[in-house]
Amino acid sequence: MPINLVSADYAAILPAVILIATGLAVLIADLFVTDDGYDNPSSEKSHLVWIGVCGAALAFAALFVPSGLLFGAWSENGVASGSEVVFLGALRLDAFGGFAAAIIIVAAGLTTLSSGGYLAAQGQNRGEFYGLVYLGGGAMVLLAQATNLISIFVAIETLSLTVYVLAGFFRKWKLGAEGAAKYFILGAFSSGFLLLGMAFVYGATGEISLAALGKSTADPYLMNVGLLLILVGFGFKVGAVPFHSWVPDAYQGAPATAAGWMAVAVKVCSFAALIRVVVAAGQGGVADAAIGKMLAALAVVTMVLGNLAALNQTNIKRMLAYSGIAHSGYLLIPVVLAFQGTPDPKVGAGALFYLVAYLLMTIGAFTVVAMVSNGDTDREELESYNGLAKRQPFVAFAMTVSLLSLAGMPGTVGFLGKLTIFKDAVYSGPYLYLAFVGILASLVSVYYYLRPIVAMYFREEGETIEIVENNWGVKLTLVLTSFGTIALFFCGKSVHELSVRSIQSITG
Amino acid sequence: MSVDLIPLVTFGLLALVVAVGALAASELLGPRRRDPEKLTSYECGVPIFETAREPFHIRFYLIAILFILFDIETVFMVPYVTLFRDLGVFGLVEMGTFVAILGLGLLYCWKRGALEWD
Amino acid sequence: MDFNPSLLALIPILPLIGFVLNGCFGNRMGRQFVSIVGCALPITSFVIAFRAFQALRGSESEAIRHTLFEWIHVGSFQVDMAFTFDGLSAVMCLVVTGIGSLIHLYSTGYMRGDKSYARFFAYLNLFTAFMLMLVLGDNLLVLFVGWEGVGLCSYLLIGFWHEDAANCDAGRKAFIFNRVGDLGFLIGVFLIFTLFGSVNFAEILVGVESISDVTAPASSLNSAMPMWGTVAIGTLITAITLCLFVGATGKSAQIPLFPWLPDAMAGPTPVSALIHAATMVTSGVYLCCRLMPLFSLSPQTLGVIAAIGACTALLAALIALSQTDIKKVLAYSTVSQLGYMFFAIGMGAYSAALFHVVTHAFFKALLFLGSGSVIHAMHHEQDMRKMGGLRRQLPFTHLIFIIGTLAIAGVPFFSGFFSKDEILFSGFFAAFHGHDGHVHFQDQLFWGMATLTAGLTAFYMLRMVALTFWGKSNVDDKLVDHVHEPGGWMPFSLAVLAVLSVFGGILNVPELLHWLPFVGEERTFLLGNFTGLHHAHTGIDLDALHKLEWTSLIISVGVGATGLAAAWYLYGPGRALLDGFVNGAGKKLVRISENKFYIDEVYQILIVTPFQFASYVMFILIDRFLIDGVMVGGSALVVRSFGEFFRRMQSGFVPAYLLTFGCGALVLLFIMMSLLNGAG
Repeated sequence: MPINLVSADYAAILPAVILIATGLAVLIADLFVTDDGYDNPSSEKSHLVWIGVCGAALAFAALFVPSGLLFGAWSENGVASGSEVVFLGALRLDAFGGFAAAIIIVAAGLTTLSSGGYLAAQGQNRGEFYGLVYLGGGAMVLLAQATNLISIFVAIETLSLTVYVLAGFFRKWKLGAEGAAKYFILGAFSSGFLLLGMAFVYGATGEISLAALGKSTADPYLMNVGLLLILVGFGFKVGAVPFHSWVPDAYQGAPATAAGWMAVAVKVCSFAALIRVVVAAGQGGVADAAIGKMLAALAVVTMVLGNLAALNQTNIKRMLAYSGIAHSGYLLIPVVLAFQGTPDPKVGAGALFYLVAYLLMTIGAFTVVAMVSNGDTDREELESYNGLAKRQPFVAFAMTVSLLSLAGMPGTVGFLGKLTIFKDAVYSGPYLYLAFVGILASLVSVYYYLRPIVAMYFREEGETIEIVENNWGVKLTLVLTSFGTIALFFCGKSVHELSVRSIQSITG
Repeated sequence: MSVDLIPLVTFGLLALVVAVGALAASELLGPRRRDPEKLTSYECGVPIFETAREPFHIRFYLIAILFILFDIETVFMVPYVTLFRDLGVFGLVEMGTFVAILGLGLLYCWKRGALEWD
Repeated sequence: MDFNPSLLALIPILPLIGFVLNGCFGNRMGRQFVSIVGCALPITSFVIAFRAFQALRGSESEAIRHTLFEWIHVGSFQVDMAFTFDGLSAVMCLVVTGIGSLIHLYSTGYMRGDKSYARFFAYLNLFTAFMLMLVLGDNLLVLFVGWEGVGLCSYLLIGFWHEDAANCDAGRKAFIFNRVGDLGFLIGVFLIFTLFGSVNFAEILVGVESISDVTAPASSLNSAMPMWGTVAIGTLITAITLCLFVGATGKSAQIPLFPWLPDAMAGPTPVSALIHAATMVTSGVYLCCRLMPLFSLSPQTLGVIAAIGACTALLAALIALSQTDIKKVLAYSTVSQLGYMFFAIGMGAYSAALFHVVTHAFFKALLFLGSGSVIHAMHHEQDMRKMGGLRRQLPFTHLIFIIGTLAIAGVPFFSGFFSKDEILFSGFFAAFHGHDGHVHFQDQLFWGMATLTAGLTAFYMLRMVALTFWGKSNVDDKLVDHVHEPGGWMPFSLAVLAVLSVFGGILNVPELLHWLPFVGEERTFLLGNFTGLHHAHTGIDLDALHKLEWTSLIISVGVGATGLAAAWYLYGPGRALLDGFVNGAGKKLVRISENKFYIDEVYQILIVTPFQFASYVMFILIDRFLIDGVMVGGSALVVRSFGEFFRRMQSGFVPAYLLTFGCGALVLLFIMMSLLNGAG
């Protein structure tokens, strides 16, 4: 059977293709363009950063080309049109995938911007870092668009491989190697669950398409158990308790900017795929309500334990790792609501909007961590932040903005994100308690988010610490993230509306 | 016995004959000059009686991985060949892209020095 | 005349800009800059307010409105940052900006030597901005922002010389007393919202009309009043107005919340003149005038207001009799005059109250600034016993004081005469004719107290002049040669205020006196008619009314004259008689007055001590035991155990992780399957 590709197919994969091409270009450029020797990992290699950022910009632009992923939702004000199934049902061209892709692409760009100076200071500035970010980014974008079990699995495995390597990118550092190894082993374990679940679902429906989840099946029992196993697999990817054990170790061992990338991009694409799965499963009525209860239970446990565990951390990366776990918990709330579809499937939009907020504040926080550590992994302890505000008022400010946003303080986009999610939960009726738990958990979280702020502004510094500062990329990243965090609080409405249109395109 | 199975059985018998025949021919026709090294069982050139935790030289793995990688990727060429005419220009471009990516990989290994033993 | 409504917003914003400029750059830019910025912006506000006033007079419309931005829109609760410039706001606005500007100018001289010159002007500008917000606010919330803002500025300025702990204490005292009042105010606002479903003045007044007009459907009321069920609307309105009045007693220093005002004299004298005499303390009166129709619906509240007003007026006047600090006399006098204003409101004479606000602003600002000149000349000596005979050295200031005293004493044709006469007549009318034809004893009592206060006022004011300017000099020898008249802008401000104090009465001449020069028919009840507060006496023919008016006028002028004469005699030729009384028969009485009727002590025993005891108990019980012990200790324990638990779980061993993962998945599967089986 000859494959006839039409322009929609090309438009659908264009962003992913550009990202992968960028990854390859960075790898090759690192081989040939040698300003002071390609094998000198302490040089800044700003050409790699440039290539990466340009690639990200191109990929972002590719979302908006006519018949591109976000073209319809963006231009035709209010109507998400142009959704179609491409590549024989493997992928979907819709605004939902486009929205997730946009976040992933921006995260890739910001990670690249902030990494140059940091990696050089660590003496680990190799082109492979950027290559992995972009290759993985391509896979993530595809995952966000994937609509059958095979393409989901292939995309997940591809992106996982890149982040395993990124997690251990500082290969001479024990913690890095250890974290990466754990991540890899547990990842393989979870892939088993995912695959088994997919096999069960396939067994029950006889189809690999997600759309088949909605059809009636001869064996709903097998189907539901399969769905649960798939959820376990995704639960691992997003770091939901009790599948979260790898998160602190992997984040702590990873380069700070890579940790930010892992936290944001992996979450975005995993949640996108998860929402596609639960919406498809929830709409058919075959999936049992028990699935919703399991998801809700995961959300509660993740929010509570993630925040409680973060309380005692003294290492800022571990703290942010647990914070990331807690945020997965918040993000599971709209997933539950999207599964239930009450009062309408739009409620899943909260997740998309929250992920935008999460992108800005998390990348911002990890960039500051990268700046402060400046080539010394011991500088990731809380004490290293003492008195930072006196020496580096802007860096301290950017950190404060990010942390306050993570805590959900008004004036930052994090507040709007939480508000959207909790509001949807409150209106949902049966899942009101999720909002209640979420609000309590966020209250607890304020404590540990404030600790670095207190250290930066109210403690005397122990020793004078140089930080990565004379680097345009890092500074630009911080400017963008803090500006975005504050600005979106005031004009987040259009982004929220776009997210609502996007989520409507899943089923349209 | 179903008629359908006849080719399979034939194929199996043929395989058996070839395998046994080859071994037998080697045994019958080959010269025998035995020494202790030759009497040990063959294991890819690695000493066989040793503590199992003895580290290999990493280069073995590198070469092996690269070999498998390129080896398996070229396997994709075979189905392409069977559909060469049907796929037309599209197939040519597609396969060209595939080979180009493969080539980039080779280039990468080469430049990074993965192909040099020392 | 054309007037762009958006200019209204500039009236409060300009002083706010002054605050920002002076606060941020004042110290660096020098005094010249501070003086120019600090004075020019309020003066510009005055000019704009004046233009708006002209536009309002020239136009048919009742008010100029401008919405700066949408402020809070939550469901049915919609509040805008909006300003209304109607007659009442116009009068208050002109007083605030006009007298405010004069006092700013005066301060450039008075504060010249102070090291925190820029800070002073920044606060003063901020105060002006908030005060303008208060009087221009289109709804209760904007008013409340101004209300709290002026309270804050008052606190900051009372404690302006914060090196002295006593000043800070005075600031705190003012703040705390005001908080008590603000609580009442806030409850009132909430109740208003519950009843009317809005905090917008215009909408509230529409609601009030529908209540007073029984035939109209009560549609403008908040139909959903879940809390109130069967409570009669009349009761609710009495509760609302009483709560608002509690707020007013705090801000405007009425019984029982007045003791902060005399202590507030710790601030610089221009502050006392601006905040604690002319503007802020009258905001309670403004509030009552603003919601006049609402207050009028509750005779009970009006009765309470009249009683409190009359009692405050008399009590403060009695205390003022024996004070020796020149500013304290003026402070008690202010409390007493504010009492008059509330007495007028209680009598339903809102326009008289507002009129007295205006004239009082003129002459009390004049007196305070005059006392400032004395204090300035005496190098911050405020004790009148160490003054005396200053007439020779400070002839101009002496003249100022005489004018102020004659005005406040109600000597005919000075400004105070007109406003006070109107107030006393409203009391007289109620006491001897009655609004409803019936005469009540308590009205007669209140009128008697008010009239007695008029005499006392004349007495203690002239006493102050006598002690300060007449007789033999008690000035410290070292100071004698340095005593001098103020320079710079100070005499200018004093002169303008003096002119206003003399001729200010022309603003609201009663119909009875329209034959006076410069008056004519068109100026009778000018202010009252312009603000729409004037309320003609009905149920009585004109001749009888005039007869009553003449009687009241003669009595009040007579009482005032008696007070003046007594003071002149006792502190002049008859000094021996006074000394005899003070040291003999009246010793105890004088001591009671000197000690301010032991109000502070009573509060100490009744409120402060029990409160301190209660807070100590709370500290031990709640803070130490419950919070520190159980909650902090307990939650720390819980959190620590969680931390420990997680530390164990997060052992770093991959098998442990796999175990967690696997067990978690199994538990989920188990629960899931049991749910499925249960369902199936």
